[in-house]
Amino acid sequence: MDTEPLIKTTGLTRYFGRLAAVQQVDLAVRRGEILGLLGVNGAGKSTTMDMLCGVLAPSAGRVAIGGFDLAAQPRQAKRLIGYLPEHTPVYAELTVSEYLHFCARLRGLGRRASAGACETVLDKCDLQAVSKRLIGNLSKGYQQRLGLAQAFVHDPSVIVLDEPTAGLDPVQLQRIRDLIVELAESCAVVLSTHILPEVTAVCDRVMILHDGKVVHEGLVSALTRAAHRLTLRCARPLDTAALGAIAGVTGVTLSADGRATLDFEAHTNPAPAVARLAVEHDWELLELNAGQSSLEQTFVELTYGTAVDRTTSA
Amino acid sequence: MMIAVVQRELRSLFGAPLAWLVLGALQFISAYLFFIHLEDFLLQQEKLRAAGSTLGLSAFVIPRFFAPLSVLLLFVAPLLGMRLIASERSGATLRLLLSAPVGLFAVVLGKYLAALCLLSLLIVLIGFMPLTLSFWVAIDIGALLLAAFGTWLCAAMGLALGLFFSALTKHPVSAAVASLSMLLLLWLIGSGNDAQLTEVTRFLSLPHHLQSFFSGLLDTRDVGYFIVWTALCLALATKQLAGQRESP
Repeated sequence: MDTEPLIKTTGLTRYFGRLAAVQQVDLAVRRGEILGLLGVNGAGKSTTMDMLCGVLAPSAGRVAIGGFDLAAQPRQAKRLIGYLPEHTPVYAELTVSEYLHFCARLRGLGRRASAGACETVLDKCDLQAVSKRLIGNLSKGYQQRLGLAQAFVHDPSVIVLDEPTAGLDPVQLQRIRDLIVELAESCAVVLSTHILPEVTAVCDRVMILHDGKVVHEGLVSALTRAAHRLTLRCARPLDTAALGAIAGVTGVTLSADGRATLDFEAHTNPAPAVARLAVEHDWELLELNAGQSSLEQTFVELTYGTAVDRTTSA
Repeated sequence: MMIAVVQRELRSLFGAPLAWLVLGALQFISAYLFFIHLEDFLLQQEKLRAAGSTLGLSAFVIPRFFAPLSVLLLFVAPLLGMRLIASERSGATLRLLLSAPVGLFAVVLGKYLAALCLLSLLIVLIGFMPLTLSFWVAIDIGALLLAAFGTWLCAAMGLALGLFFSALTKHPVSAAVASLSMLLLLWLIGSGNDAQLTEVTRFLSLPHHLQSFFSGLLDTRDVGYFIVWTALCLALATKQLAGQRESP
């Protein structure tokens, strides 16, 4: 992974009239990295992406793509960008091939280079079978894949994808996720999504936006680490005192259905001791689960949590 | 990259029925106009000769043929221009163009040139009709070319106005209504009699500048009138797109 970021923004801010859609967003994405932008509707994800690609000019702040300032050297910077906006930008009256050729030429590829590039992306996005068909007659899934294909037809260094898997079936979804991960080997990728598991499956880092501000930024691996909680279910009654005596366990609660929940300190793992205890006391262990502090939990706390707070205070 | 915009636009224009409909309908109308004026000349030929008039076939048919066609094209052109940018916006493809390493003026000009190709083809096809007379009689080619040039300039201006209003809206019909109203205003400014026309209204009047092309006079002021309007509209359309990118 290069140390110099391919995408770098400082103090990125955008107003629509008096409304501050995006405020003071600083982000840096390096080659080989996938940054996931998360946020509820209207959080400012698409506006941020529009600013990254030069579709909207920031009210304040700067965007640098591959070292080129987007405002001062837009052509050089934009040559490095591939963008899939939220609404797939396709022309219904063109065929798939014609459209990809147009996109390649628009992004500065020569006639020959664009012909080769189109063949490559048609293969990568499984679009060969429909290459001669009119886009207007294709399903939403195909159109979405075509939108993704146009975003990397010119072999860009930076790929910005606004909800790239919207409208795809589960099989296509997996293939496109794999493709994004493959693309990220040589690019810096920013993607936005509503699907939280997608972030854990695809992204290295996550940035949560709320009301145009960054409310969280960090590694996805940190958000998905195991929580300090275990649940167990046994066929015979449990001895909560024995469970509470295990080193590191801070509390044991027994629910009505016979499940026991164990809270424990960070950097300890009482699971082996629990299993041993169950065998010794012949509790007939049926289930032993590690709870996960999901990204979802963080996301809801940071976004819907604040939204709920505001509603109640209003 | 601008060539890519032109090619794509041409593909879209000729891929849709509107272009073929316009080409077909205008061929039909111009053929009708051509024949009635030709017949009129044949009927009046004797009278004109008896009255000692030197009015020839070219001088009789060409202005009468091109004048109504230029008006018609002036109002057809905005219909071709109305969707040029509005459809990009409503179809969400504008983001594709704005994120590409191509200047806004190149996008505007590329789209304009593509639609102008269609209008030029239309005028060439129309121009062939009076040209067929040269098989039998000597016609004034200069006058024919000048009249066609005037018609082309007039259509080019209508198209530019349509494109400008198209940059303002998402709805092609609104763009068409706005540009047609503007053209009608420029047409009506010059509709009073000469005594009522001030220098300003004469300068703005569209028919005043168009007339000279049909009477065989090439006045650079008249050419300039159409070119200035066209350039102004293209520049304003570019400015409008650039403005939408900026913070309000």
